[in-house]
Amino acid sequence: MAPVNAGPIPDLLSIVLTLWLLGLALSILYAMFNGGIQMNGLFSTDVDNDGIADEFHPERVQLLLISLLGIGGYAIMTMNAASASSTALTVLPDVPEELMMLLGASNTFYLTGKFGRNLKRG
Amino acid sequence: MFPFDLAMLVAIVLSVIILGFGAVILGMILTGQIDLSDILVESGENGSRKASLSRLQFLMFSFVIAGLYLVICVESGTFVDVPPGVLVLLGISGGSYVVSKGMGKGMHKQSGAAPGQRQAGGHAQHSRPQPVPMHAQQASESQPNVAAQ
Repeated sequence: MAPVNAGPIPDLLSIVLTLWLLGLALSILYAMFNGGIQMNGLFSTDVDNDGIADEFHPERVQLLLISLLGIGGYAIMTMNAASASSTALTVLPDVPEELMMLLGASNTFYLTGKFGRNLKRG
Repeated sequence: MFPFDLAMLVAIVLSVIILGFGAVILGMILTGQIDLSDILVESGENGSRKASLSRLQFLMFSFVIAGLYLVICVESGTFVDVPPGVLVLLGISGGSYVVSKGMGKGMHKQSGAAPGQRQAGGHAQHSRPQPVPMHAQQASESQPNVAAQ
């Protein structure tokens, strides 16, 4: 399919859309660090609801780390493929099977831990 | 000449509308009119509110894949194909979020059913009186003789 991106309007629109998505991501990131988005209890649980974390859950930490590394690695892989290709990409690069298995196992581990805690508390 | 001008005009108007929507939403987020404080929050087992890791993961995956898709589309000038692996990646994240949310709902239902189970056991039958519905209270006030009988 021939490229349809010709003229100042599509160029301007695509630049502004990219900036908009970047601005949205940055505003959410800023709110996370600023305390505007509640991040309490991301790795721990307050069992007795007294405002103090009682249980620490390592499976949550591993899920966050593997998610960050996995999605970051995929983004870097895509950028490398786009810069290495002499022509523009017409398809997003496929995700390596190992990465999918790693993310699936990590999510399963996280859900198993959550299910086990729910069972334990009745 | 005329169709090109008309197409250009429509493109400009559509672009202004789309960008206007985006600017309004971003402006409302930045000024606090759209509240994002609960975007990652889920209710805990004991009614507490805590940040959800599966929501954070879903947010990250959505932003990164949408951003990459947009950048590649802008570079190539056309819609690019999405391979099944990327859809599986989003499916893993979304499925984890749904299952996690389902577990929380299941726990809330179980904890909500516990008092009823105790009552069925016969230990809570002499508890405090139940609140009377408003329409039943009004009916008894309008017909005092019936209520007295």
